[in-house]
Amino acid sequence: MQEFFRVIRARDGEVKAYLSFSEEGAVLQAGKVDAAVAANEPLPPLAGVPLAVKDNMLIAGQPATAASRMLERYTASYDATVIAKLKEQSAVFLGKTNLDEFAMGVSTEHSAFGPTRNPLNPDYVPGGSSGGSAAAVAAGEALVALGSDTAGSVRHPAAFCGIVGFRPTYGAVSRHGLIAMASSFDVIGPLGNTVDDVVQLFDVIRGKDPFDATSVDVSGALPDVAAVRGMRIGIPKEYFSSEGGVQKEVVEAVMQAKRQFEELGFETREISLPHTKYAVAAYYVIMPAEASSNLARYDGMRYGTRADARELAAAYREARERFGDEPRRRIVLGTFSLSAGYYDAYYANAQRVRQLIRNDFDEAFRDVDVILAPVTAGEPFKLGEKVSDPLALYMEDVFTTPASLAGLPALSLPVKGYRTKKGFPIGFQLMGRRGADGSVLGIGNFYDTNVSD
Amino acid sequence: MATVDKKLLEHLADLSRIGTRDGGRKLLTDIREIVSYVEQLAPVDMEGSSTSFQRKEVELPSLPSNVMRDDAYAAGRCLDGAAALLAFPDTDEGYLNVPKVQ
Repeated sequence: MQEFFRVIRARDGEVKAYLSFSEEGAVLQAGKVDAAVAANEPLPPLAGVPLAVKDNMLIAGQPATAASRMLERYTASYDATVIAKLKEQSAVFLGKTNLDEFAMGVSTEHSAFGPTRNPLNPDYVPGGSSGGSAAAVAAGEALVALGSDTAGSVRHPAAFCGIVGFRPTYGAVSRHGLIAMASSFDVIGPLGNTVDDVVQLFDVIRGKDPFDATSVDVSGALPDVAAVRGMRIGIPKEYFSSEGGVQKEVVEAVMQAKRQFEELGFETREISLPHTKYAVAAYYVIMPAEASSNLARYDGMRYGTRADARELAAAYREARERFGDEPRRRIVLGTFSLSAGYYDAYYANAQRVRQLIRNDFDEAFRDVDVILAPVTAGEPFKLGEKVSDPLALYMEDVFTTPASLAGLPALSLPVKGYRTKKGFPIGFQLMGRRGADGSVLGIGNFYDTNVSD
Repeated sequence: MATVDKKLLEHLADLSRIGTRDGGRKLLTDIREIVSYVEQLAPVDMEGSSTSFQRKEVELPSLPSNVMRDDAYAAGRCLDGAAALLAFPDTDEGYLNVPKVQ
C-alpha cells in the first residue's frame, strides 16, 4: 500500500488521476489488515487491496465532487452500497479519482478541476468519463478501481489506457450512493490490469440491494468457466463499416483478436445489428432527458453550496452557474426533448429506436453467445483536440452505446500483441446476453490467460 | 422538425433555471447541431417497436418497476439527523435555513 502512495507521489503530479486522497484512512485500514495477518485471522478475498474510487461515489466523511464546482464543498454523509460492501472486505481506499463533470464526457477534459492525462503518453487523453480511475490503474497508482458506465465510461477509458474494464448487466450492481447521471443506463463497474482482477472486484460489489429498486441478482459462477467451451462468437459487420468512422488500425487490431479466438478453437461468424448507426442519436435524446431531471436537485439549497440571493428563483439561477458547459448543454437538451410539442418527435421516437436496438441484440443472440467488437473508433486523441466540438466527442461513444441502450454486460480488454504506430494498445469488447456476466467474464479471462501479449 | 432559435433557447434555459453565457451564442450553435444530428431518427421504420419496454426475460427486469417497502426504520442503513444536517449549508438549532419565497 505504501508502494502505491510512493507511485502516486512520483507520477500523479503529471497524470492527475486523483482529486483527493485518503492516505490516513488507508494507512489505518492497511494496519488493521496487517495485524489480522500477523494474528493468523481469516481474511476476506479483497482484504488490503488498494483501490481507487471514481469521485461520483459516496464514501462517508469524504468529498464527492463529481468533478463539479456544484459539489466542491460537499461531504458525503453515507457510504454507497458498493463502498459498504468493500469496507466489509477490508479493502483499502487510496482516494477519489477524476472524471468528466457528472460523468459527462469521454476525455476527462470536462472536469472542473482540470484534465487527467493518459499515463501511456501525457499529451493524450485517458478517455472517459472514468478517466481518473483508468489512468490510476494504468499508472500503477492503484491496483484496481471503480468506475461508472453510462454509455461507455468504463470501457472507453480502459481501452485508451490499455487496461481491462467491465460494464455489468444493468442493475447487477446497486446504484445507491452513485451520483446519478442517466438512471436507466448508469452502472458501476470495475477496472483492473487483468480480467481476473476485474472478476474479483465485481464478485464483491454485485447483488440486489433494497436501496436500489432497479438492482437485480446476477448469480452464477464468476467467471463461468463451464460456459466458455463451445461459445460462438458473433462479429457485427456494422461495427467495421466506414459509416461508423472506425479507423484502419482499430479494424486491424480487432481482426487480430478474432483470429486469436479462432486459434483458441472458437467458432466466429458474421452477424448484423442493423440499427447500430442510430444508437448515439437515440442515446443523446434519452440521456439528456434523464440527466436534466437528475441534475434538477442541484438547486443551491443542499449539497454544500448556498447562493447568496435573497429570493428563491434568483438563488436557483445563481447556484446553477456552478455547472460547467457540458451539464448545461445536456440540461437544455433534456428540457427540450421533454417539452410538450417535441416529446413525441424526439423522446418517444428515441425510446422506440432503443427498443429496436434491443431487438437487434435479441435476434443476434439466437445464433451466437457473445459479440466481439471494437470499443472505440480510434486510438487516443490529444488533449484539446476535440474539447470544443461536442458532437465529435459524442461520436466517441458510437460502439459502446448500443450495449448500454440494451442493458447488456460488456467487457473491454486490450488486443494482445498489438500496438498502433503511435504505440497505443487497442481495446476490443465482448458483449453478452443480459445476466450472462459470468460467461462474458469467462471467455474474457480465457483470452487473457491463454493469449500472450 | 424543430428550429431552435434564440427565443426558444432562452425559454428552455429559463425552464431549466440556468443562465446562458455570452448571450448564449455557443450554446445555441451546439444545441442546433445536436438537435439536427438526432433528427436522423425521424425516418427510422418503427415496425416491431413500442415506447414501453417489454420484459422478455422475466427473471431480469430491464427497467424500473414499482417496488414497495415498509415505512420502517432500517437500522444501520438510515442517515441520522446530525449527519443529514451536516450536509446542509445553512442550519440553525436543528432547522434548515432556506431563502425566502417571494
